[in-house]
Amino acid sequence: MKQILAVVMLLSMAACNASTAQKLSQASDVFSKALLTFQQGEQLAVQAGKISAAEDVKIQSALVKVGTAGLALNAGIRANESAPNVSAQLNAVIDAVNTLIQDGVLGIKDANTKQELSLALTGAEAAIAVIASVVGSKSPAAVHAGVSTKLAPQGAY
Amino acid sequence: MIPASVFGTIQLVEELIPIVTAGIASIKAALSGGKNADASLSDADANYATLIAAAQAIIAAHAAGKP
Repeated sequence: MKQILAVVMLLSMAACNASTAQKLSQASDVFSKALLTFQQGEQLAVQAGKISAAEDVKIQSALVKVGTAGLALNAGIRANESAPNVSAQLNAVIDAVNTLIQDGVLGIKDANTKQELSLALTGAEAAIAVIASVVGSKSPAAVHAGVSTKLAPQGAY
Repeated sequence: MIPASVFGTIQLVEELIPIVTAGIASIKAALSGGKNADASLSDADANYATLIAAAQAIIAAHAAGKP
């Protein structure tokens, strides 16, 4: 738990000291690394018999959507480096993460594994919260306890 | 005597800890390495591609009936 808090604090510190494009890029980099870590941990749980094949397929299908949305988010960041307007891409990432949590992680029958993998996603959620705080004005933390808040398109407020 | 389910959970946690620790180390490196935006995005692209490829391979393995 201390390590997860450390990641959140490091993310916040990095976000304070970097340019907008750098904040978004670093947060996307961290998000992608956190997802890979999550995937590796989830596969260990599969090998240990804690996650069924059906549960695994749901989680991996959700990860494909998250990864695809992440690539689109990166394209949006690249295209709008000086004036980040990536709320549509960010909302797609949030949707995909919600699906991963709701249909994937929360569907795991083994309670301990469910809790451990939920914790393993904390770093990814913190990274998305950093992106949301940079992009949106109303939603400083778009992902909270598995319930995400979508952002309105830029200029809608 | 430790029940098998508890033993299995302990074993899983033991195996998860190094992976999560390694993941956090790479996250710290990403944040402290002073990478510019382009480098961060390139690394993120590669990570997303790796994630998708691995996930698709796992789904295909399940579809083929492999454990």
